[in-house]
Amino acid sequence: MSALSLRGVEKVFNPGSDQEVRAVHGIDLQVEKGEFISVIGPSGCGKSTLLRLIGDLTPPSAGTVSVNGKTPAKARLDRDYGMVFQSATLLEWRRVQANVELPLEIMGMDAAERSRQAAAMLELVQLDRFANHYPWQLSGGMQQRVAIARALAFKPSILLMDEPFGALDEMTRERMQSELLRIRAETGTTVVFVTHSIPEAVFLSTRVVIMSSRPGTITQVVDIDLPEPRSDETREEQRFFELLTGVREGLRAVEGS
Amino acid sequence: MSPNARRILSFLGILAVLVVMWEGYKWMGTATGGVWPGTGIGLPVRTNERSMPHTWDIVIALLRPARRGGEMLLLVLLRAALFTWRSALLGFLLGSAVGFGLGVLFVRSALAERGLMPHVVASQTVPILAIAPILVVWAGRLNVTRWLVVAVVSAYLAFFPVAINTLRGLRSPDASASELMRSYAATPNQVLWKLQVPAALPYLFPALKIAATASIIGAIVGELPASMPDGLGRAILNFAAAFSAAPEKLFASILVASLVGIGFVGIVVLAERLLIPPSRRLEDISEAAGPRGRNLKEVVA
Amino acid sequence: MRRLGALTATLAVLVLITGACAAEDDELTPINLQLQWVAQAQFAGYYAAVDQGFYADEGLDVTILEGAVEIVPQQVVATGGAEFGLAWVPKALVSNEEEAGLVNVGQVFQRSGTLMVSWADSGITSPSDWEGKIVGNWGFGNEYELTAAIEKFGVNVGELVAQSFDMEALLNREIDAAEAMIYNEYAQVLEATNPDTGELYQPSDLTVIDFNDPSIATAMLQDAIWVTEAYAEDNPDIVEAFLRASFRGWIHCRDNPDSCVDIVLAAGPTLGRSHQTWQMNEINGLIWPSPHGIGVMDAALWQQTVDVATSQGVIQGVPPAGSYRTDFAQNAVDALEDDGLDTVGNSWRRVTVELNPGGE
Repeated sequence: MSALSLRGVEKVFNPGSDQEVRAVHGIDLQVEKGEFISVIGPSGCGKSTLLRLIGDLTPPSAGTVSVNGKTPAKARLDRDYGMVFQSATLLEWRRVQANVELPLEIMGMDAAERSRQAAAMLELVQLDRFANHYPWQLSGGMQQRVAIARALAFKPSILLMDEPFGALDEMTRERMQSELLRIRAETGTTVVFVTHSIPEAVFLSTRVVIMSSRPGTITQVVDIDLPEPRSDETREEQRFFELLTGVREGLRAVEGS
Repeated sequence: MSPNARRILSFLGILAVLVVMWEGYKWMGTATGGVWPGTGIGLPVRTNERSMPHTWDIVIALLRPARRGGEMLLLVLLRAALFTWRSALLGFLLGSAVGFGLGVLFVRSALAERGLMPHVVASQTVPILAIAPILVVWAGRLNVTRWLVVAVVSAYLAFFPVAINTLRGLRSPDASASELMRSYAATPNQVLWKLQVPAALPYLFPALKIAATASIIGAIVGELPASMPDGLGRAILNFAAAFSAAPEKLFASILVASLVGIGFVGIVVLAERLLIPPSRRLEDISEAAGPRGRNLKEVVA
Repeated sequence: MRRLGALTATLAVLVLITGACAAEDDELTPINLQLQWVAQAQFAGYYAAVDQGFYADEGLDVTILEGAVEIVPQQVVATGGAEFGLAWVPKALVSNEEEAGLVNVGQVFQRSGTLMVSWADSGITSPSDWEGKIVGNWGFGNEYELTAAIEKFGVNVGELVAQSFDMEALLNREIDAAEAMIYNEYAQVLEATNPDTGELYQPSDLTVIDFNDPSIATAMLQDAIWVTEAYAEDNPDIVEAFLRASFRGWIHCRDNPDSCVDIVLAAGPTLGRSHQTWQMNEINGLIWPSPHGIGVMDAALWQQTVDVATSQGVIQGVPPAGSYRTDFAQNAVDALEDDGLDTVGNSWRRVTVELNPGGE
């Protein structure tokens, strides 16, 4: 059973009105358990919409989305999704620990268990020392790590990430990427990752999905055959640069169209 | 200098400026015979002792017996203020609860908001002077204790700012926060209590400060038709009737009434300090509207 | 036989005890009395009747409902908010033309308390002197004695202006004559400090025109006790009991004015003592003497009130017979006389009240 299966998925906003927008069209995609899929494409190509369709934040106009063999709605109610957005979206009145505990609280986990789990997650993102800080006392990168810890706290089977490092500076960003790979290696979570950055997509992914705009559709899927585990040296490898070029050309073809 | 010291100093400074303006205007009017200097144009307010007693005469009146052989006026007024505050406090709590409830209802149901919001807004354009006697008559039929009726009049003024700002505050979380809650399959109640209500607290307190003063005004106004002999409303009524002969007592009761309002707001500020960390406090209601916040008109529309 | 006698006596005692218990258990009849304004000596008799237990003695549990700006007592009575209400006669007659169905059961004030007050130096001593002058009035139906006097004397006043319910306009010499109640606003002038002397104004600084003066005679009857016709028909005993106790209260205030001032001050913590002492004295002056006994209507004064009211267009027609009843008041007066009380008050004399600044 695939972790994720999309067939003929289409999303039309404001159907029938003069503001009708075909956001995505004819999407077919299979993602296996443990894969790391990056979705890349020009602005407005519908990559965020694709993520939202998978995460049951918006229903498809046509086609089927299946997550672990279930409808997205069922998957959401089963808490199969962890989500991370571009902004960390931490609740400013909660300390770091309490932010990570939030989903566990909602799921009705008892206090002791929740505290243990959140502490473990904070250790995973190496922020255990900041458990009692408030979000505003943390840098942007640290906040985003808290957001990742929170998304992983309830051990979702799929992590949906929408440009999570988009607002970070380049150095922090690369550190966060390595961090994310390490965490994923430890948890084995399936990841769907939306990004603007070609090096990010190539460095992180097992496959990179390139989308075109108007209508948003998948034009190419690039297999990333970089060796595991990946590290900062990976970024220096010849194969890394070849794959960058491949993805860039795929994108250029899309933008030129 | 600590912010608190600065706040107290600026309060005293403004008080001093007001006293100087009062006395200066009075001095000018006395000197010119009641006209603007160099003109024949009369001053809008007479400056004689009956219309504008000296500020110190007002303070002295507070320290003198309210009537021959009686208690100090200040004591009489403080007792009246305490009586009025009892109704106002209940009105404040009642109004805040209703306002909060309406905010929750509106954020939950667009239909309720569309249907009820115009009435909520209209309720505040009806003069409280017209509402109060009606409420008193109704309550009289129902045999409700009168000070509770006064509390209802007070709540009538207090609920509005709370409803508006609760709604604004409940809507303040980013869309992504709501989607996060959705991804956790949170129930509407969990979204309300874990996300929306905590997010609304900083918006709530500026409204509670307004509600605190409004509840005092409501209680004073409500006491008149409810015929409460022991509150500030009656004190102001009786001293207004005797204004020609003893204006300083009316001004003294107004002074005490405003001090009660300031004290009440002070209590709300204290609660805010205990509940809201400094980084989340909104200094005033205009800030609550915020650069990215919606202004009142938009919320209402 | 002795045993039978003892038995009878025991039974009689038992009956008496249970009877007494029953009387005690009998709940007092709850009654609301609606005033025209908040507690002040104008209503001292009713407060005294509560305080002295006169109502309770008659089996009544009277709640005094104070007035407010928006409260019209005769409407409260007509709509069932109170069994008894106080109102000026012309105002109640206007309500009756709007089918309030009220009947005057006790004319407590036997004369009008309204004055026109002027500064002595303006030389206004009779309505004729209003010629060309600025004359204030309160409006809201308080002005008809004045307009009737103006008509009667054929005066061309300079201007008839609206006056707020205080004496500011006169004190500031914006008007030449001001409407004033003898028990309230007139005293307020005498409680104000004369900036020229630093002392309180004196009666000699002022002249007053009294509408009760036989040469003017446009006075209209004021505070009276009103009930609905239906209530009077259905509850004659309660009406009489209420009047007996209320009149007792007023007699108490005539004979013990200081006690009544204390009672009023307790009901109104922010009232001035000397002002209320003045008011008590003047209110007594409006009641006493009551030639036919307190509360019994003087037909001539009723007629004068009706005449002025119709001539001024206050009411459209002559009120029907039965707009006032003297039987209740007469019965009450007779009962009080039987108890040895003086219900006429011929021996009552106005005392001199020293006013303090601000009425303190």
